[in-house]
Amino acid sequence: MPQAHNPPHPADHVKPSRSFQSKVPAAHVAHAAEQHTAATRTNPRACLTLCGGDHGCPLAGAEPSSPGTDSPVLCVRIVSLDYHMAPPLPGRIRLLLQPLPRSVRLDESSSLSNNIPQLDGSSDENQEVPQEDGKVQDCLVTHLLKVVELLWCSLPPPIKKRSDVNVDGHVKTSPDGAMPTEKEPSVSFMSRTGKNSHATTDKTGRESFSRSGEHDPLCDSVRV
Amino acid sequence: AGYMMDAQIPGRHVSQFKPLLKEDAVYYIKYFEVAEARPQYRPIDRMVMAKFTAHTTVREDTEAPSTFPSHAYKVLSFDELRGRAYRKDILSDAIGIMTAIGPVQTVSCGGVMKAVLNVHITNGSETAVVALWGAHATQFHAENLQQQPDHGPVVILFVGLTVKFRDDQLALQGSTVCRWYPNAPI
Repeated sequence: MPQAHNPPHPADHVKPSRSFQSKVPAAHVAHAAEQHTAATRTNPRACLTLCGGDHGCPLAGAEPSSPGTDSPVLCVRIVSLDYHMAPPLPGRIRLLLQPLPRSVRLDESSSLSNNIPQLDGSSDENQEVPQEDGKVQDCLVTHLLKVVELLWCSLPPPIKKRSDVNVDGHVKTSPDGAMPTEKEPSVSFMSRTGKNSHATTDKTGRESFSRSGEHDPLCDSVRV
Repeated sequence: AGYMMDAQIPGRHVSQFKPLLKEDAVYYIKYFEVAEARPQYRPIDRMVMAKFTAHTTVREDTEAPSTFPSHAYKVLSFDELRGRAYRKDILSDAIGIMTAIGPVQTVSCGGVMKAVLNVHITNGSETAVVALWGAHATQFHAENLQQQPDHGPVVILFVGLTVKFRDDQLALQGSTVCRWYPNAPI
C-alpha cells in the first residue's frame, strides 16, 4: 500500500521572487500572482497544479494541459461491468489518529487530504479532494477485451510471481470472498455467453478468448 | 499477450460514463490514463490498467464484426490454482464439469448474514468447490443447470475467483466481480 507522506510546509509553495523577475516581465509576474491568489481562494487543486509546474515558465503551469491529439485508442468489448464501493484509504485513518505537529497549520493550501496518495499510486489532474473519513468513493470497474483493432502498442508482460509472496498456508481469509472490505455491488451486469456447446479445457493455461454466438438467456440478467 | 485489460472509472466520473457504457458492447475509448494496476485482487495479471478521466471519450461501435471476442479469461489447471492458494494480489479463472450444486444457504460472516451457494466442479480426476456469495448465490440458475446434465455434461467457466483449501480440497471463492459461463464456446 502507498504510504502517506507528511504535508509540505506552506513555505514550500512559495517560489523565490528572483526567479519570477529573471524569467518574465514584471507585468506577467503580477498577472501570474493574481491568478495564483484567485486560484488559492477558489480551488486548492489549481494551487497544487501551479506549484508542480515548470519553475522556469510559471505561466505554463497556470493552465492545465489538455490531452494530445495523438492519444492511443482502444477498441474493446466490455466483458463485465461492476459498480462497487471502494475501501477507504488506510493512510487517512492513520493520519486522523496522529496529533499534528505544531509547525503544521491546517488551511486550504496545506490540507492533509491533498497529500494522501491514491490507492493505485496514480494521480489525475482533475483529482478532487478525498472525501471525509466514513465516506467512500464509488468506483466503476470494467474489464475490457482488446483485439487486433488496437491502435496502441502491446501491454507489458504479465506480472511474475514475486519472491516475497510466501504464504505459509495458515492464513485465514474472510469467507465472503476476495474483497472482504468491499460492499456488495450496487449494480452488476452479467456478460452474455455464446451458443451452448461442449467446451474443452486449455491445459496450457494460455490466455484465450472466444467469439460470440447465440444469445444464452441463462446468463443475461441485469440487477439494479 | 495484451488482449485483456482492466479499467477503472473513479467515483467522481461514474455519473459521466454510466449512461454511456453497457456490458457486452464494443467501444472506442480515447484519452484514457494508463495507471498502475491495483495492488490487490487484480482480475487480470497486468502491471497497468486503464483509468478513465474527465477527458476520456467513449464511442460505441455498433457495427463490430461477429468475430469480435466475447470472453476474457485465462484458464488455470487445478495444479496451477493450488499455486495461487491464499494469494490476495490476483484473481483466478477455473473451468470444470459441474457435478453437483448445493442449496442456497444463509451463513453468518463477521456478524452479517450472507447467502452462499456451492457448486462442485471436476477436471476428471479431482473435484473443487466454488462458493458463490451474496447476490451471485441467488443469480446462479441452479434449476436449469441441474437439468442439462441429462443432455450432456455441463462445463462451467468461472472467472474472478480466489483460491484456498478446505480439508485438502480446492475451495474457490467467488469475488464481487465473479462471472460464470455454462458451456461457453471457448
